[in-house]
Amino acid sequence: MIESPKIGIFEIFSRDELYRIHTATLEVLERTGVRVEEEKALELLNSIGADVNFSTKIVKIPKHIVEDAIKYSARTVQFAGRNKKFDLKLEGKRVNFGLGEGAINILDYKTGSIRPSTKTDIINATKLADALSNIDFVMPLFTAQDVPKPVMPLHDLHASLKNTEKPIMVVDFGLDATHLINMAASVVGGRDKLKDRPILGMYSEPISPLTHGREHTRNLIEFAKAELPIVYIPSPASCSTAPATMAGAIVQSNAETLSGNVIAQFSKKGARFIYGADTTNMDQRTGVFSYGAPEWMIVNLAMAQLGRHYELPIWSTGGCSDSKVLDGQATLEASLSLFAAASSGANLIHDVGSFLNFGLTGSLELITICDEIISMISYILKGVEVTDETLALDVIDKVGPGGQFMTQEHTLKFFKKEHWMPKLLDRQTRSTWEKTGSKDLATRANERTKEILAKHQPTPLSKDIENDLDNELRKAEKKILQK
Amino acid sequence: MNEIIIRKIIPFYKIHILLIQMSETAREIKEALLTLDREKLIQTTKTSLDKGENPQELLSAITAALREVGDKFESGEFFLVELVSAGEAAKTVISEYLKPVLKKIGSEGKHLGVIAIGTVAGDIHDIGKSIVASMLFTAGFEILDLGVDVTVEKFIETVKNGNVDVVAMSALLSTTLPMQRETIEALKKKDLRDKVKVIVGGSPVTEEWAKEIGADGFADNASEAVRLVKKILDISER
Ligand code: B12
Repeated sequence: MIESPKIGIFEIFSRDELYRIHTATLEVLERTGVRVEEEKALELLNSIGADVNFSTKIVKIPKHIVEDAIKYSARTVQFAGRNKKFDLKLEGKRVNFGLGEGAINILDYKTGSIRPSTKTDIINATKLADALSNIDFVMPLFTAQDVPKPVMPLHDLHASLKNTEKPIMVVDFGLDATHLINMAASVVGGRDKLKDRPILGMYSEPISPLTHGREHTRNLIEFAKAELPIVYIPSPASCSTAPATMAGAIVQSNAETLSGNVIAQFSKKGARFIYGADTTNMDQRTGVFSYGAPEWMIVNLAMAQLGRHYELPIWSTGGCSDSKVLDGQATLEASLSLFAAASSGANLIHDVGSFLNFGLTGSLELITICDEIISMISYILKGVEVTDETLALDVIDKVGPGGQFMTQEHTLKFFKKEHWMPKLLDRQTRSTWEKTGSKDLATRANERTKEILAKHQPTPLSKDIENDLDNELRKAEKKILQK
Repeated sequence: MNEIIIRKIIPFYKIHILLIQMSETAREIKEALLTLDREKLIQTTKTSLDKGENPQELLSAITAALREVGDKFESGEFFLVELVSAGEAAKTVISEYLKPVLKKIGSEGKHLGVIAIGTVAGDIHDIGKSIVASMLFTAGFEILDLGVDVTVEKFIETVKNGNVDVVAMSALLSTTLPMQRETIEALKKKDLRDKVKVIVGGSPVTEEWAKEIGADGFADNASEAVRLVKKILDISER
């Protein structure tokens, strides 16, 4: 977690531009509207005065409804850990980092090759995230390709709940969200307790442009009513599912997430809605949805500025890459995106250290590397403390021209507090580096990852709770697989 | 057959003039497509049809120009939105202006084969599918785009009703991937499997998966998809 007044200073819009983005967004919702595929939501929107066409399912939402929904939103969202020590308060200038989700492959840290991911891989990624001090929340980085597909999301959550005490965010996959909620509830002692200890959040997406899909809308309502954190974020690519201009893509993204918020807030006032957009560009040579694009980084800055203006908790993205291997490109894209997202002041930054290959391949070593990158970024964003003592006039005078500071008391007092020390980055002399095996960053990250996984034991669930959770999983599995 | 039609409609002495005009038309069509000038493409087509030029020849001219667009994309000179837009413009002209005339004179219009493409049930990811469709169209295939969230029944129905050569299925989610297998199984059950080739794609799809479910092929990008379809349909032309 980073908390610093320096966060959010890097803003891309002037006041006037911010205002224009906002009014343009309201115009889109009022003039063009959104398509809502869930009947219940259409009725809800109709009942609150939106202009609903039940046959085309197009809903035009007047300005005041959108603004009311913003007013109803939770200003602060509590996102709890199984252990209170890991609770997150999503608000203001508090920045938290978590894994990516949904990868179908792993760049195997044991063999170095890419293969389909399994439930065991989710367990390992979760354990690693549980151990790393700069990772604040967990998403199931992988999808379990070794379980029956229709119940895969349940296993993704099951593996996560057992292996971390940190808050967990899962992808709904359009599956009936009740099952996910029940599983989390079994861990904290029931649905009611879950409201106080919201250890589970849901990540879901509208379908750009301007469509709220049936299952995802249903789950949005379900999570709003369960009073659990909801990340409901569009994921368009500029030039294909959003306009080519970045301002236009931002306006559309804003309309998509804010209309989601209307559905959430009017389903349950004060719904714990987290605002943002995963908007990038469509690469013009390959068509891929780029995870390392500067376009996505600038959208992160834009959405954070807007989110702060609305006083909503903010979602963001960083720590991912388009590269297929753990190379310079991977660390470059991961670093830049993390820096942009962190300095934007977003409250939850996902996709940390997990994603290569446009979100399709997860890498445990990249998580370990990102832990180091985040630690470096926190150092920068904390800024420089300026006090009489830190201005160091006395010691400067004492040492005077031509002296040295190594043995000064002032130095001994401050060197730890004022400086950043690498854990993974190399600063050895060439000859020592060669003597210790000439290891590059990827190799060192691999060793560190293995070391952590061998040593770290996440606090297990108690036997009773574990049984309850297993039962809940079995019950849900049966229900889904019987259909 | 084309020549016979031309002779039927147009006196012999005019053919020479028409051929010159034709190459002029072909040049204009090419220019319109390469500059993505949709209006000009429509105008040129309309005017030449009015002048009595052979719709089959016009179609060939468009196909040739499209192929050039495809080549330019492959070589990096053209970008994706240009490729897709050129394809879209050509599709409009063919379906709205050429096809009706071709039908009247009893010609189908040449193409390399019919491809029914869609994203499987439960899945709405359509960007990749649409790019593949566009590239195949550019390469000279006729496309039946079934859209997204396409049920097994819909695929079956399409194969039953049309002269489909290839069924192409896209799936982007682990949870919807099994629908590709189900569609193939359903084709088998209805004794339709031998009538069509089946290809699969989408980010979670692999060569092994394609083999496992008994598809005829897999491609992980649109250019490969074109090569694949040509291979499985035995189309030797480039
Ligand atoms: C954009 C996107 C979306 C958009 C889709 C918009 C649209 N109109 O298509 C939106 C935001 C709506 C979306 C929704 C969801 N998505 Co999505 N999405 C993506 C993303 C980021 C990019 C997809 C894309 O457009 N790629 C660009 C195109 C050009 O590439 P492509 O599709 O792979 O196609 C190429 C090739 O595969 C091939 N090809 C494709 N089809 C075919 C077919 C044939 C026959 C052939 C031969 C070749 C071929 O050629 C294409 C061109 O080169 C992917 C990540 C990824 N890298 O795939 C996630 C991803 C697929 N989505 C994912 C998820 C989880 C979801 C949601 C469940 C999220 C949610 N909770 O709401 C929903 C599901 C909605 C549904 N019911 O389908 C996960 C899937 C995880 C998994 N293990 O299954 C992914 C992998 C992201 C992630 N890591 O979490 N998504």
